[in-house]
Amino acid sequence: MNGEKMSVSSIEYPSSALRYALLNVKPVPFEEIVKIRGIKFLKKGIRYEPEKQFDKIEDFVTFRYGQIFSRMPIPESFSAEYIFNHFVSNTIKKIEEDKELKDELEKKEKSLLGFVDFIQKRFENDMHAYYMSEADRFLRSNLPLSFFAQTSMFINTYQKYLSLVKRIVRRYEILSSLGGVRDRLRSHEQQLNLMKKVLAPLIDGMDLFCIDALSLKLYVTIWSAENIEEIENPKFLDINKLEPSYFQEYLTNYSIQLKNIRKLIFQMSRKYDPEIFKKEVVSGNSETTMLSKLLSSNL
Amino acid sequence: MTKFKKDVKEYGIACYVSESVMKECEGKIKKTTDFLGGILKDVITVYLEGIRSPRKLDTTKVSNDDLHRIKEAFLTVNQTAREFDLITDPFQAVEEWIVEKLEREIAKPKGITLDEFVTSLTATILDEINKLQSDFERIVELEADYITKSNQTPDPQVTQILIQNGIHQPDANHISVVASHQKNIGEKAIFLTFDYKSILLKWDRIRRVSNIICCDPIYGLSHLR
Repeated sequence: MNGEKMSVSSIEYPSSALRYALLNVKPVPFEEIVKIRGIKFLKKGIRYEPEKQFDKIEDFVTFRYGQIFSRMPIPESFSAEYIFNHFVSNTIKKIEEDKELKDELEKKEKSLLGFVDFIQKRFENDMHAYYMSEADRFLRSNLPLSFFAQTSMFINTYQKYLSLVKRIVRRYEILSSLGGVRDRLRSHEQQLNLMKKVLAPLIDGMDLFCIDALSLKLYVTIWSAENIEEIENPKFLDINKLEPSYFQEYLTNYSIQLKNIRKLIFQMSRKYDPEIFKKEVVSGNSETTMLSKLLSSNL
Repeated sequence: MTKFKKDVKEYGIACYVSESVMKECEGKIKKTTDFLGGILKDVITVYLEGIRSPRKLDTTKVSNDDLHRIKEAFLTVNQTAREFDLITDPFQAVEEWIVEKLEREIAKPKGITLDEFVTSLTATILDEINKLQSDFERIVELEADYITKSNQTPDPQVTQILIQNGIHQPDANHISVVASHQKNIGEKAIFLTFDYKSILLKWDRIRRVSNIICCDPIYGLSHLR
């Protein structure tokens, strides 16, 4: 039912979008005439422009799938080239059709925090659908539920990641606006550089995690597909079609990166927002009651 | 746990968790997850579809009749495995949760399909298990609360003595880490647990043969004074 919601390619672009929007920008001053009640005013401010020509989001997508498919075995009946092109073009198409994201990327010229806020809100609005999608994959598979509990930790982790990124960007925006009018550009440049320094290892870590999350998902999906039409969303995810050593390797890599990125988020959250790693299980609801009974029983 | 946490803060009690306990906890979470997965896919889905005349779950809306199918499922499947002790029976815990969820869906004016119902149950489990894993990681793996990971290994001699005296091997391993801690760190240490069935009801025997005190966390302070 919900297979499309968190299809393999949709893990891809929020991460790339943050790299594109936050790490590859520079502040530039601007002046514009604004009319308030018919009177013209000169408005001065700072906006953000891409730093380098290369950093188009499409380049990241191509690069990302290149990294993944260069080491992934592909079933003999499928063309590796076709599969690579399919996922690249499909993801780029999704980004191009994502008008909301495009608008926000343009707006980010005015506020980086606004952009992160948009990404975060959108992700949190979709979280239930993401869990439904993972649940649907489980019900159409013969893989154990614990496997999907492991893969859905991506959702929990990405939520924490976005909260942390938002905190860091917020701090930067506050600090950069504290300088006097004359030094505003210098202050923005300095603070932006500091922000990039803090964010870079976090975004790099999330990118590595996304690569392994996507690799695992793609490996299970592609090898379960009965035919080429099914490569994005097979009818049934079949553990028997997976090569145990490859499956284990992808799962181990994913688990290592999951552990690494959560540890990094945890360490950084201590400085920026300790609430990110607060207690999550709510005592007293029906799920918690059931789970505590199960955990204390002799299963 | 509130009382013990207060004691830890007030008296600066050092708390450790051994690797064997961590592994057992992770194993329990995995086992619980797969147990729930098995019930959702192999029991609930099968019985809701119907065995004699199967129906399509993606077009059939939830109804009161489905509660009877759930009743039948839990009465029939795994009957031999059921302990019929309503406090400890894991099937009963899941049954109550599913019935509550289904009744809530039936009461809604715009009913969802059975397919959506089962998917939503599974999604809720995944979300809750993730929260549990995250809390476990925060407290144990990331040492963000009051517990530190112990690097002590089980004491083989003490483990052996405990096994010979009727303690289950995994529990004997957990308990004997206390002996290693006392020996290598030179600090008084006790073993805290909520496991009454396999450990606390045998505390006197454990103390006699190994000199290790096992108790409920609320009595921890009294043994450390």
